[in-house]
Amino acid sequence: MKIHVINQQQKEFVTLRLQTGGRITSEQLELLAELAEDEGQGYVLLTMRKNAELPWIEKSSVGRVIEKIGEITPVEPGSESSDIGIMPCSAHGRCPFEVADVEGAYRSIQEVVHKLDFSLPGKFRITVTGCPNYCTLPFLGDFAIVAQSKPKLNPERCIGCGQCVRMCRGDAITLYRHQVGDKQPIFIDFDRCIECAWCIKNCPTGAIEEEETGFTVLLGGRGGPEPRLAEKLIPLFSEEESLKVLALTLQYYGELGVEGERFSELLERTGVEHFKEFLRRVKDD
Amino acid sequence: MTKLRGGMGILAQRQLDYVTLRLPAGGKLTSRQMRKIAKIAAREGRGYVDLTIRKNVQIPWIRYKRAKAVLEELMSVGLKGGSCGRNVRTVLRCAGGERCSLAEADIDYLYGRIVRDYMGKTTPSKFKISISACPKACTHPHINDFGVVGTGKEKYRVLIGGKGGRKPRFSLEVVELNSEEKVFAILQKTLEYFDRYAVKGERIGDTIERMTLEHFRDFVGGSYESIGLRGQH
Repeated sequence: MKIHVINQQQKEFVTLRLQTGGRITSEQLELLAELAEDEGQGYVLLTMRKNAELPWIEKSSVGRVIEKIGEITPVEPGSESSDIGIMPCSAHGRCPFEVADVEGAYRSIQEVVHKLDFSLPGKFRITVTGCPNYCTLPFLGDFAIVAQSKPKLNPERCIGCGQCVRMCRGDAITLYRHQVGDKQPIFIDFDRCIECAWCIKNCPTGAIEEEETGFTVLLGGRGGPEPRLAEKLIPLFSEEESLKVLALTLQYYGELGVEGERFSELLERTGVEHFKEFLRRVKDD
Repeated sequence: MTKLRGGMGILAQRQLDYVTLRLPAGGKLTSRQMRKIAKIAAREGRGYVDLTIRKNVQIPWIRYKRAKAVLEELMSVGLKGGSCGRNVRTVLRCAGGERCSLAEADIDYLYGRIVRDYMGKTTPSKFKISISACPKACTHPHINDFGVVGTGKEKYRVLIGGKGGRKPRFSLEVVELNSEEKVFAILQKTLEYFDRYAVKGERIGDTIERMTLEHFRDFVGGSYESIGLRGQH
């Protein structure tokens, strides 16, 4: 667990930010409760990126507090300026909507980031999302992968019940009532389809199947005072390919970014086409 | 799939025997609450909790049959299940003036009163409110139905009609205000507008887009005039 030390208005106190990845065990919670009581002011704050913050820690006791956390969970210091945060959707494995369990991808991304041997010009926010319902706001981060699934109709099995039409989250499916019993009772408009796989999960006869499942990559979003929505640059990728894109994105950002510049600002400066060209060039090599 | 509605904070899992309990913590947990949650997660769940992007806490893997009893137990530390369904969801706030060195406006009173008067109120579809104490806007007010940004002492910028999700959209309307009371007035009017004109399941931004921004401004108009409008974002 990465721990950042953050300044407070009150010069003699700091806040410790614990990068939890959205999940805290009972043991960690008990310890946080104890630390908040003994060293802080009896409470913990939660953050927008699913981290936990321990405010009101006296500067002189920071070392001791981190040591105590280290006794139950491995800790590493975070660097404040060029910090990389990784946030998964935390309900993976149990969310009814998820297209693919992102636990594996999350771990792999952690490894990629861990192996990084150069520093970045600014903070870099990575989001790992299991479906295109976007609950973790992947479009406001620097880099995100989103699991998506393209549907495919198997007309032989379709009974024209219309369940998929009611369930569709992109209003992409039309039911031809007059053709029920005929070969193709429904029509899927792939321009409108958001690839959430909800129709696949809700089809009672298994007539809608997965054509292809993979990750979409979102790049160059940011929150803050001048928010920017990320761009969906590329179609479906395998986990391995999306990790490769991440590594290349980090490389591009590390090489071309000016100190303090966010990746989104770099993209605005150099142009998305320039970045795509970079991806293509490296891919060809 | 088991239908669990009613805004009690009982969320379905893929595993139908189990549910996840959502506790709108408002971004802050006391030691007492943490101990209680830790115990319940170990005893009834799988020994961990999840944090959410709206600063709530979720206890997963609770047996459906136990959900009510567990929620009752959590009441003893002042935690109530909720923030799901068609109502005003957890009000998001930043750390604010108490300790963040960037804060420009005091949002404690604003936050407290919005939570007291509006959170959990039934609406045509979910309604999300987010408050930031400075223009750095760390709580993403731009993609909330109703966002408040503190821009100075007693100065607020209100952003209306944003949303996240599948088709994210930044707020459609931006208003600069010079008192907390005016923020409450606009919020009240916005919710009235939402109640009156929204089609079920539609977010306020969709309603404004469908009915046009002029229509929305006309409706809220009375409370605008004394305020001065800044125009579209």
